[in-house]
Amino acid sequence: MWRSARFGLLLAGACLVVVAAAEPEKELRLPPDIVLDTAKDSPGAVVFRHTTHSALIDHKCLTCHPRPFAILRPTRKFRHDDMDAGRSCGICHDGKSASGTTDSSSCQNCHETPETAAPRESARR
Amino acid sequence: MNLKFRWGFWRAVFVVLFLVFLGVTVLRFTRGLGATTNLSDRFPWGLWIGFDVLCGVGLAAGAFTLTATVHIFNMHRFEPIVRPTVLTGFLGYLFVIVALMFDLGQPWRIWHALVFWNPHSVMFEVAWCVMLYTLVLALEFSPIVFERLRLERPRRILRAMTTPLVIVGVLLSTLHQSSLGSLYLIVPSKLHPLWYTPLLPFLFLVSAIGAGIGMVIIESYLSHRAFGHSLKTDLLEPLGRVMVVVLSLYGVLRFITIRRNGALRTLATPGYEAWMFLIEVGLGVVLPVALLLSGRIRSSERGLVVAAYLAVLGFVMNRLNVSVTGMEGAAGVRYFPSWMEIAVSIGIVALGMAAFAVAVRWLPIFPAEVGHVTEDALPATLAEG
Amino acid sequence: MSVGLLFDSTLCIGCGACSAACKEQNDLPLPVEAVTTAYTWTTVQQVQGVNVRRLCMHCLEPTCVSVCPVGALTRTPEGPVVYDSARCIGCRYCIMACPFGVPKYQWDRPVPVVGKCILCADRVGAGLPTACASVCPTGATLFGDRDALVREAGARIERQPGRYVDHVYGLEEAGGTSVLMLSGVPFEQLGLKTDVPRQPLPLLTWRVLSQIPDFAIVAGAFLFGLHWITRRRVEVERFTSDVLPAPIPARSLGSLRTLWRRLLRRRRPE
Repeated sequence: MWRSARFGLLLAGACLVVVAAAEPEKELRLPPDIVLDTAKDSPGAVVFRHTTHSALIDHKCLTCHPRPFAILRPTRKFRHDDMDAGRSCGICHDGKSASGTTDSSSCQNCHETPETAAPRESARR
Repeated sequence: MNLKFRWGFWRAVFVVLFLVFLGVTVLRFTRGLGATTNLSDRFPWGLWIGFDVLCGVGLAAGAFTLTATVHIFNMHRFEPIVRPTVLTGFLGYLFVIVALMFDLGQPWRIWHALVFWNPHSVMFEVAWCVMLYTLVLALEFSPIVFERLRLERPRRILRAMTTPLVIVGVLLSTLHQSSLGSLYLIVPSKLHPLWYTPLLPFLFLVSAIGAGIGMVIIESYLSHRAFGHSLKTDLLEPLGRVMVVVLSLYGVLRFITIRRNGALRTLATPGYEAWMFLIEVGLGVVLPVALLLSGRIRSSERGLVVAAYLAVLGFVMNRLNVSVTGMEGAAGVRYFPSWMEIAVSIGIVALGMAAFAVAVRWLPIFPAEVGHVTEDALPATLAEG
Repeated sequence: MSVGLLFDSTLCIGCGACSAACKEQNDLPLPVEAVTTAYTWTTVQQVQGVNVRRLCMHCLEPTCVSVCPVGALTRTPEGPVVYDSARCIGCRYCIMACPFGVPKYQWDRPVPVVGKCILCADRVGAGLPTACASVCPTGATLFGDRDALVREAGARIERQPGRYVDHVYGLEEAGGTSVLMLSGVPFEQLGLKTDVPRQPLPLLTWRVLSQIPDFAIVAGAFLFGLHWITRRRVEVERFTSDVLPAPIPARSLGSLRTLWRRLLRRRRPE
């Protein structure tokens, strides 16, 4: 669902550019935020934001794609086991480059609680 | 005395070359082309195409030149050297096929050219020509084998087929020699203007005839030296004349095409390509023509042989210049073959020479050894009479 | 309908999403290399501060398709120039002949095949855009109908003549390509081949190859005629000389030549 919706959006975007002939600008249109699947005992929903992550790595998509994260068939299943073992998000979220995944005091860095929940970007512009 | 020592020496050299060849063969097929050659994406065709295939096929041109002379122009005085020339052509083609087996990425699929057709491809034409002309050469050569085995019936059938075989052979050769030039028609922006021309197919054919005549002279000379046969300079002198005509035509055509390409001025201040061109044409076209214009040189054994060697050298240089020198500029890289590429090429040539020597011993290749079959050599007796 | 890509180098930020998507779509091994190889079908190079994509141009009349002896390369009706590795014999004529230097070889493998961008033929066939276009975050790579892309490219140049050089790369190169490129600096500065002929290259060899059947018939007849005439001349010489003809083997019936010879002998004026 998500995938086809994304393609639809992209196609629509492409057509818009072609048909409406908007002024070409180096404007970043990153994929929408991704709400990760959460387990029952999860401390809260996790929303991955391309905007913040992309800016941190100077918009070098190759840093994370296609490994460890597929770019065409993105997953919403992320396991803490993987992260804790230094895979998946844990490659960067190791406690040094970015907040760690094993440190119980930093849960809210990723997991939203009702208080910390930020407004989500539902779709790209 | 001296001869005995030499045979032992050359045999040892051959064994060493052959062992190296075998070793490189194993490496080539277990490690791939990248590990054994200096080929790359920028330079995908190297020594094996430029020398083994282009030159191997070209040097076998002696076979079709001479069979045409004897059987189509009916100049039967050349009959005595037909057999060694056909043998060279046959071996030449066999070894082109061997070289292709090394060069092709997946040689075990060579039969695909028979099944999956693409008539728009020059390579497709080349593949069919190699195959069919090898077959024709085998048929042209087989009477000699049948003679040795005293198989009268097949020999007679094949002799009856001589004329159509020769005509088909000349057609296939013409197509094949020219198609090797056509291979490069598709790279107008890559091949240097000193070599690129829409006339490439025709130039390849003419230069192959020139080199083919050169090979006939050289082979006659070598067989004379190795087996003590007399070199028939009276027979070869007219070949020298033909060579003057062919090479002159070729030289003039080269000049015209280069002038049309506007590449003459590159010769005024010669760079890498221009120097290679000047050496090629100077040594391989101008010098042999100049030598052979003199009647005295033309009728001397040494003069003829030197001119023939020069023509063949010029031919080899031309093929290497087209396939390597002329392509380096656009590729943006220099190419020089790896020692393993060279070892394979030398190994193949050595195998060819060894096969020739063996064939000459066991088969009635030279007329002196075919005394008992004079009835077959009828046209030859005709000419002598 | 023929599809294509429009790559606008002035919009490209060199993020590499296209390369990432290409690797994933085509199951190619990482990493993304700096130049295209048999394993990296597209890559973004930075030349003089300009980001430029390298990929197959997908000619409307592809040179590689015409030179392949076994038809391993073909052009689908939608536009992608695709490769069937099961047919390839490894002659590498496509690599040698491509005017854009696109096809690459697996030099490191004992059983190698060619690698090149196939314009995501499967996706395109299913009505999807190419993987690279689907992930491009700036719209530098656009997928669409080639005619529409040609119009869009022209419109961009018209609207912002200062931003672009007045040339759509791929509009006429090698007779036109499905991939089109726009640039703010001359294309040769980006390392693109600008000496590519404007007409389709396959014509250069087809002009010669198409003559072969006629040539074979004419030349065959001509050669036989030559043989026939010179043969006759030799016979005449033979009969006008005093030399006895060589004995003719009694058993060589069935040979046209012998028959001819016998006929002539019967007419001998002695």
